Amino acid sequence: MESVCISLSRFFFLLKDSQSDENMHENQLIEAICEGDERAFSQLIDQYRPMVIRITYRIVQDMDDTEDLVQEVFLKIWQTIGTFKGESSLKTWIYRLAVNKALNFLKWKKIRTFILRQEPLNDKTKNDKNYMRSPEALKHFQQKEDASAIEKALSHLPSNQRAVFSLSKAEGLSNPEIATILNINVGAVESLIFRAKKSLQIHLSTYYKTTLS
Amino acid sequence: MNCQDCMAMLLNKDLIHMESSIELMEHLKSCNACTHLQIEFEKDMKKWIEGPAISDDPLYYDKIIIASNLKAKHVFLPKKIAAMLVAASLFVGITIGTLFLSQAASVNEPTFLSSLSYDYELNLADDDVFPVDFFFE
Repeated sequence: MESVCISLSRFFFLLKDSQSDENMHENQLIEAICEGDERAFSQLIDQYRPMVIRITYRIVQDMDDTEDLVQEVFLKIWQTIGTFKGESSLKTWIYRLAVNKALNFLKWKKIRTFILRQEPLNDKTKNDKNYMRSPEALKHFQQKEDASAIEKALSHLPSNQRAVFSLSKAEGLSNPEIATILNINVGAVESLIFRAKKSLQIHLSTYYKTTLS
Repeated sequence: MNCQDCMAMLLNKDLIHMESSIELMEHLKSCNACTHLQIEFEKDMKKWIEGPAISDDPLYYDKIIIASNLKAKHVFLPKKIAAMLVAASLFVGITIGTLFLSQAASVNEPTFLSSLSYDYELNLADDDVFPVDFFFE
């Protein structure tokens, strides 16, 4: 029994030690980037690029837009890392930048479409014969074909519900973490997840009913 | 439990109570359609969680740095200097404007003497001396 207790305490000590090591590493990385160390920034890109691409794509649902937005996110990190206060983890801060960038992009896209009273670019170009023959069109249609049922159902949801559902279900973040990222309270996060699930339930039921029957 | 509740249960699988979970399992055993739905749903969910395929881009870092440098080149003046320049040009504009306005006003505005000569129909332009005796006559 005693040996079990000792090994458990040793395990927790090692766990704590590894966590503080991680924080230390993170702080060193931030300091190095603030001093203009380009190698440290390259390391940060390698570490967080897949995460930023995943969450941005889940919100925006278009790979070309995602690529542009991810580049803007890293540009913003490079320019504003000096303002990072360390109140949350670096990961949470990067999530916040990415999610805000994606949500703002969708908001402006919606406003632009409304003001110009034009069809969304994707729909407009679909009717263009030259576009239909281009490799971009092939890529676009392939992307739509490859989209999973969940992705298709999520496209019917408002962008904030899509963001919250993605952060919770796909990224595995807790509700308080999501609340920090979106700067809202935990109750609002719970409400958004509840509404997202309710809408998804309707869309997925219809989708499976038509595809499986 | 019926087939309609099945989708809701599958979406909330990690949140539902033990009892509901058992209920769901029993329903799935007895309903082929829902079992098929569960298999498809879990397959789709897995695909969605995996996310898009991300290719390695060794030049990605360089792209960011180039974009950063390009953006820096566009800002040709620091914000503080630009604000000071705007403030200075405003000040100069207002000063010049005020000067011109006051001059224009002084040209058109009648003086006390000219008003008096106008009232009494005197011709001051001819002798340039105000006829003080005129009032004592």
